Amino acid sequence: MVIKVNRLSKSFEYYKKELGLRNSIRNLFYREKLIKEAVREISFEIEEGEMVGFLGPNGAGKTTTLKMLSGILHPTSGQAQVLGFTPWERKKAFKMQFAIVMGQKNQLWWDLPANESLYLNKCIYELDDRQYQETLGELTELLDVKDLLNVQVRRLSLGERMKMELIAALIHRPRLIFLDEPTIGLDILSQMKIREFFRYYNLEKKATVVLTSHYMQDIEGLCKRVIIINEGQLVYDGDLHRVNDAFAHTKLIKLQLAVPVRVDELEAFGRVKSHDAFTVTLEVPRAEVKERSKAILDHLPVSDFNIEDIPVEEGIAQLYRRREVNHALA
Amino acid sequence: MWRWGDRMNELWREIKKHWLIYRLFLKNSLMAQMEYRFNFIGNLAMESGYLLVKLSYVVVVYRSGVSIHGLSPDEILLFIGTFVFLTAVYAGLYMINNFGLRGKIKDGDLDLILTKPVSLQFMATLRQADLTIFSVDALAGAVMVCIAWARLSIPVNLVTVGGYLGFLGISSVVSYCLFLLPQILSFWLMNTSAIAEITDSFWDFNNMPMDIYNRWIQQIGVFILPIFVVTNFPPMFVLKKMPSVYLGWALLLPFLLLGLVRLAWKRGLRNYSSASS
Repeated sequence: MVIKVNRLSKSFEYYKKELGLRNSIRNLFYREKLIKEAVREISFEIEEGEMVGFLGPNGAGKTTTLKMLSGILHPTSGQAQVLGFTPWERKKAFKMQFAIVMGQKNQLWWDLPANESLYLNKCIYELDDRQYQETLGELTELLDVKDLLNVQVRRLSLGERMKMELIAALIHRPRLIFLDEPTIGLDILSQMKIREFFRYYNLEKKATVVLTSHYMQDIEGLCKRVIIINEGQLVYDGDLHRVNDAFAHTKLIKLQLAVPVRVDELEAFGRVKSHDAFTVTLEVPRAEVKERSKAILDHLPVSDFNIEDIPVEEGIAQLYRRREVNHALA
Repeated sequence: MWRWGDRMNELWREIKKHWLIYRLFLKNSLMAQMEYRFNFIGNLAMESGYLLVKLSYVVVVYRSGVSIHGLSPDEILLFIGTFVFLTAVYAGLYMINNFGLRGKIKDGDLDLILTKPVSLQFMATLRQADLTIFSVDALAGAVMVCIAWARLSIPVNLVTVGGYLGFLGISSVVSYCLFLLPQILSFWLMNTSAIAEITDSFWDFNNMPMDIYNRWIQQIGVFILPIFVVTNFPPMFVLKKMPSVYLGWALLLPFLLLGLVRLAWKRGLRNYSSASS
């Protein structure tokens, strides 16, 4: 087991300030302390070599959890074992074995070419020359940035910079990688390249990867398993493609019509999710798919017909909206 | 016994590793500054000009031939040279990191360095250097000290040179700790610019030998807020004007302050809340 989390919680103190100068003056003398429970008693386990998507809406507690698991933050309560260590004890042996990449933070020296920062990391991680050159050669080849090593970081594009950040994070060949929105702000090609890279890296090095991203393509492309948290609580832990099973009692019927049909006529067959002249998507109860399909084919001018599950991202979005904890599929 | 030996070996390995990384920090800082060559040369020129202004005080002291509280112009030059050299250490090696620390704490920029297998305090407080300030001031300070040393006919032997360098080392540690401590408060208070600016202005208390202040101020400046230890002790040692109680205090103080800084740092770090991303 690479990661074992047991009832981990983290709360932050904060205070509110109402609008205006008067309230600022009031705040100078009195501040009502409030508690924000960023993460509430979450528990899960991750096996060696797994690639797990860690999902949730903004402010759900994903980054806070990753920060606790990488030792950046102390939890308020609960336990975690990562690679056999308690992360917030920040033991050197633990730090030598993992890496964290944050899409919005960088470790490279801005005014220097990336190879200076990479060399610094070589010394920080106590790598010998051969090991360093080998890993550097492999990573720059895979990410196609060999020619950019001597270019100042400030002159690189966002995508190129992120690739260099990845190399800096992986130069010591970590067993465990936390990726916090690694493709944020990148164009589609750079996102694809980075996804391909991690797919390969996970397969080749058997590294465990925990990924947070708001891009579904990142999650669908890389992770079989997802952990979803909302308002600090775990709401789903399981197979990505079974997310809908938790609550989806409906299916989608997609129709191509030979002639246009009015919406009120379509509503007799199911909830109209989308509609234009010839294309219609209807949502129908899962248990009634057979009867509804027959009725549609009998009464509507159908030229093409398709039955589909609710898309995964829609299921995830519904989970984001749900407040109650649901371990049904865990 | 073996365990003790292993620990010592491990400690020695860590010291060597941190020294190697520190040299890389200095090299990277210098290279980063040199990327902007006009700015780099401009800074060198500005720092040299600033130094010339400081040197004009020395000229005044020599021209007038005055002695300050029994110190001859040559002795004053030794004090000023020491002050200029230690200003190089403080302003060139510590200040930029000290001033940046509260921003790092407030904006969550300690996140990534917290995960590196080196001392966080080391990474956060020594990562950057301004080597234009350091090189100009250190060179000028060293020249002044050498001139004063020769004019005062201070013998060059292991005791005087070793002692003076040792006290410079102590002063460097003391100034690192003294000016870092107020910044560590940022872990609790987030913004400590007011406190930091006040303590930073204390540096100028070292401009002149502490003998110009009355006895009470001297005692406070040595034992309570030990700012006078920084630039007064090295010249006092070679001029044989150091009371034995000061000698003992000078040997004890760096350990006390380093311990205090470590304690405050560790406590503060528990309060680190990063920043939302």
